[in-house]
Amino acid sequence: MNAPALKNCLEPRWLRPLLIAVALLFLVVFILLPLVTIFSQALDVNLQDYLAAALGYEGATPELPPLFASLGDGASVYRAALDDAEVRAAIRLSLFTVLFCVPLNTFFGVMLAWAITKFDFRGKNLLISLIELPFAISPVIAGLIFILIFGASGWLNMVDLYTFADGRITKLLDADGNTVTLYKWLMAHDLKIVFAVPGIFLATLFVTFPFVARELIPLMQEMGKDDEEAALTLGASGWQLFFKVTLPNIKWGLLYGVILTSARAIGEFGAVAVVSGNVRGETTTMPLYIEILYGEYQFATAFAVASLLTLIALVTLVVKAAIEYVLKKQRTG
Amino acid sequence: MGIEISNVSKYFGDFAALDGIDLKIPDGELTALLGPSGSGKTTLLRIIAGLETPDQGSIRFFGEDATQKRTRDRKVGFVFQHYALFKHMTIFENIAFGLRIRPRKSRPDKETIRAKVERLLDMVQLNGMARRFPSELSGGQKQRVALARALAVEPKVLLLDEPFGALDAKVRQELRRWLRYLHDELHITSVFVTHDQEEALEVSDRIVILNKGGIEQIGTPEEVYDNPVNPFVYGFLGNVNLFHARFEEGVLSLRHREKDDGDPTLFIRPHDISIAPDNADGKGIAARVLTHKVLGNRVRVTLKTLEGDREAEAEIGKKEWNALKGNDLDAIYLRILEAKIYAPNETWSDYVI
Repeated sequence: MNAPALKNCLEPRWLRPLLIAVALLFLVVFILLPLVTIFSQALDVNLQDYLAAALGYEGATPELPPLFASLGDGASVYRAALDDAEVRAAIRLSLFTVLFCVPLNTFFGVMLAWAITKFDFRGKNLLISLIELPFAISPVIAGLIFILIFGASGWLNMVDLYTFADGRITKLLDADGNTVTLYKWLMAHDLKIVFAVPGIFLATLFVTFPFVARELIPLMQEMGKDDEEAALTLGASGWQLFFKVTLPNIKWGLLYGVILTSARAIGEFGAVAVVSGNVRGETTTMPLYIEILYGEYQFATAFAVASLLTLIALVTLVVKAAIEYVLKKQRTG
Repeated sequence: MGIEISNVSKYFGDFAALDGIDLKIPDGELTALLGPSGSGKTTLLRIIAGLETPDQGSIRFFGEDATQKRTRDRKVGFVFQHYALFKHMTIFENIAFGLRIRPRKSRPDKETIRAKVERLLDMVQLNGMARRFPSELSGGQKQRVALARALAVEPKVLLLDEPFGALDAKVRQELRRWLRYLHDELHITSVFVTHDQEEALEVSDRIVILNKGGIEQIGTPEEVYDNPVNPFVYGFLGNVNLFHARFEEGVLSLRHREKDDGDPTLFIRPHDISIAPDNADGKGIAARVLTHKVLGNRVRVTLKTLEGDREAEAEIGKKEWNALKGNDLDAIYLRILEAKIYAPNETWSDYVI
């Protein structure tokens, strides 16, 4: 092409490089640098030397905060951290949380998106707003909700249990003659909800609920009803309709929602912190355990677990970007 | 009788999309549902397919009540305006879809399906396209695939919702003729929805004209075009000039300027107006030419009568225009060759100026 480059008539010449530079600088200082720090600390790359070399210092290296200087032999600490039983328990719990929450929220998210996009009913707009609720309220409050429902002073402790005996319904009493509430009954049967794993699952379920539905609703609205109606006239059943026509159309969006749900489920701190009770090795997820370690000045271990969590996040990011690329190609193609 | 629709009504809130429709669609015919947007034609088609439920009334297919039948049990083929092809499937898979999803005991074997799809591809003139995806096809090709897909399940009724609406003019023309040809081959009871009167007139055996949820007229294309039962149908089937007139001793007088209550209105098609440079038989109305537009071999001339300042549009042949245009275009005469009146005593044979 020999055509001369078109002159940009929309903005002053200096604006574009300036904007790009400012945005890049911000990105490097506030995102890239902390990210590099986590990994370098975990693997004990000598940041001081590294920085000195990068900045061209010779001899005298700049003073860094004591945090960075106080680390020992990182690589071996890293290995030791991942061998630690409590660290492993935290990793395991985080993975179980993901395994529990992601399938459930995927299932309900698809159902909700289907109901909203394919049917007309009263209160639909209210329902759409409600989906966003977990995003709108602080995760701490999300956690507190479950304490209020399932905790010792919660609703479950106000529900009395009844028993059917001698042809009459009477209140269920314990050995001391006190009424038994649902909460007490659950405790007596060792079925703890809050300050236990079920509470962590519930809180995570709550905060990660919107992702799948939010991703699918616009996609399914855009898809319209034509394809499904065509399948219906060709004799398809409801299941065939979903698996052969709808799902292939929404699969990338669905996967995207699943990735986001997983990322949030593994990284959630606030809501889980409230309901966890922080029993080490039992009810600490990875983010909670990192915070405990950090509070105890075990920086090396904290950074080791943090780097693992960050690695998961980075992998998620790459997968997410790949899916976005596919989705975009699909829309334009 | 193919499809019998009795007393079907459908409301969307307070809006009556269909109001007590009674309609019989003969077996083996190609019927057009013609009407402006909002007339209820698409709703009626969707009710026939079972994609909408009527609030009242019943549908019978070949004598059998189908009102309560689900869409997938009705054995209808449906062709959508925007094709609705499955984007993630090849053309072959699209056409085979209806056969492949059948329960195992009624599903044809692979070889039978393959042969059938090949035959259908041949019929819609898309041989060799089997492995392509819908996104690789043009609009006209997509719609032919949609038709093949609908026909693959051997429906008893073929329903088409504005099938050519999304195509450009030339492809639309071709596909129309092709649909007519295909119907002559297959003789499947078909209903298609259109808002394009030309399309309805060209393709169908019978036209049902709908307006505001009701049926205005049913008839062959010739019947409805030559004898529109009311002003709406007249106006919908083509361009129209309105002249008001008054009966005077059995003769229609056009000389009155003001319109009285009860004065009939003359409906005149542009091609029923002729233009002459002189007033040889004394029937001409003096007028002048305002503008003209050459549309291929036809010329659309806008005229204004010298007396009464009434505007009229005439459509004449290119040759007539060429003969006329050398004359003084400010003093010509227009003659009404044919007109229709919708009035209680509408017999008339002549008019005076």
